Amino acid sequence: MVATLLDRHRASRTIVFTADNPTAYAISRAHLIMPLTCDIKRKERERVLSLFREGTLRALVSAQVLNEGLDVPEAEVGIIVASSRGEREHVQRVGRVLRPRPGKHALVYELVVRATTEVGQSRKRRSALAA
Amino acid sequence: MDRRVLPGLLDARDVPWIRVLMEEVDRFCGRPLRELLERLRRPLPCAVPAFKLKAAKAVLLRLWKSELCAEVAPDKVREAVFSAATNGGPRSQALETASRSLRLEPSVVEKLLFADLPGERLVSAPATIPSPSDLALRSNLLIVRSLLFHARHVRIEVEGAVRPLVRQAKLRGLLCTVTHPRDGRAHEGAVLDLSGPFTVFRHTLLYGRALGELVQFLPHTAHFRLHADCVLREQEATLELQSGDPIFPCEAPRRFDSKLEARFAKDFAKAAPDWDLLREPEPVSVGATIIFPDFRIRHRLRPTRSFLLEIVGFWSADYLRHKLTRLREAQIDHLILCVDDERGCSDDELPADACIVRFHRRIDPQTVLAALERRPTQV
Repeated sequence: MVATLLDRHRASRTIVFTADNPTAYAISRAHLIMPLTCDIKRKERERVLSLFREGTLRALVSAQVLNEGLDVPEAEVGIIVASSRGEREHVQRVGRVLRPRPGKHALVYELVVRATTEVGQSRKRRSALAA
Repeated sequence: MDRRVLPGLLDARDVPWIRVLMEEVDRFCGRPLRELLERLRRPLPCAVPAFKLKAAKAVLLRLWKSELCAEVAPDKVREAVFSAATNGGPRSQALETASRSLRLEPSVVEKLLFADLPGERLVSAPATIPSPSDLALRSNLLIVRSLLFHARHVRIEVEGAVRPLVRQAKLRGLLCTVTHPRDGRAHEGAVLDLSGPFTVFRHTLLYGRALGELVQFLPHTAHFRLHADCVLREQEATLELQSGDPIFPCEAPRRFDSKLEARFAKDFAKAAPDWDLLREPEPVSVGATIIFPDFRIRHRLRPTRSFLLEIVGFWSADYLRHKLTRLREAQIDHLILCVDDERGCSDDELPADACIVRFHRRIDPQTVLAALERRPTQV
């Protein structure tokens, strides 16, 4: 599913959000997307963000580093792979992609496993977001 | 009610499973640390006390270090690979493009992609592999050190090599009072009373580590007995340790200066040519306690004008107040205390009437000279 979405939005700047670092690295290896985690040194993280802003890199995968504090108005597509986190964090993640920019049209996907508790949790988070 | 702690130290009976554990760890040399950690989370093929195993694993992970083995810096590899992947096309094509620019095989490029991450670093054996019994001693040291992190008060009765031990306590800045033994064997030893990390309000972690480091010097004394009042899971507990207990000894303490002292000696010699600075003067008995000053400062032309200087490490206003009271009772008013602003363990104000020189990183010789000028006492 991640592959399909990444392929569909290959021309857009995309951020994939995961629950933990191992998942972020697994996605990074499989789809060759730059990971942004706490293990990556600050200097490299800054360089990566600047490459992302100028469009040399068009996709990033992050567990928690991009949740708060970093401003990436260039991001247009968000793919939330881990949906077990709380409402506050969900708002932060969606907010990364919804940063305003002239002419920007943002899209956020949240991946959940059908017939699991993830569906209800996702609905709850979305209603909190709407409120 | 006091509960006696039996630290459950490792002994000869633990050697067989330690050997199994060491062989298991050694099997992972040259493999990513992640794989070793994953293996260590699973049980060993023999019965092992969980508490002892945890300590032994921690020691092994300090000895078998993980290191980065990469011909090209992994951050450069990542930049090349992920930039190539941005241009579209299949995964293999992106790896091919990156490998051409890096002049490496695609398989190597893939291997190096995350080689610098903590879990991906390769496990390497230490230069000298310790024996299982040696590892047991190291694990015991770790157990005792971790228990001391929960100490409220530590008492060490020691005979022989008192000065080197006191010196180590002072170098680590521990809140320490040295007294003569109560049974009157004043010439044979001393009693060190140390505040535990539980009684300091700031720098608790640093202080606990510094206190724990003292344990490895105890086997170098002729005889010692350590008694610590601890708080474990909100319960009072006692830790007892004595000569002969299986604790890993560090190398015999070498005579060395702290950088702070060496720098002060150098600065003072330059700033005060009329004064002599004597290192480690004789200890001074103050009632039942013994004080180990760091320096004696004596005027060259008026040798009767002589002062003692002690550098205090971690401190609290209470600790200083208590010390000054004892000095006053013994009518010793030629001792100057230098206290480090960064190592204050409480927010209380310092006693106003005391001869205290505060410093930050380095002791200013001019401030010390000014303090000397204010003390008319001649000894």
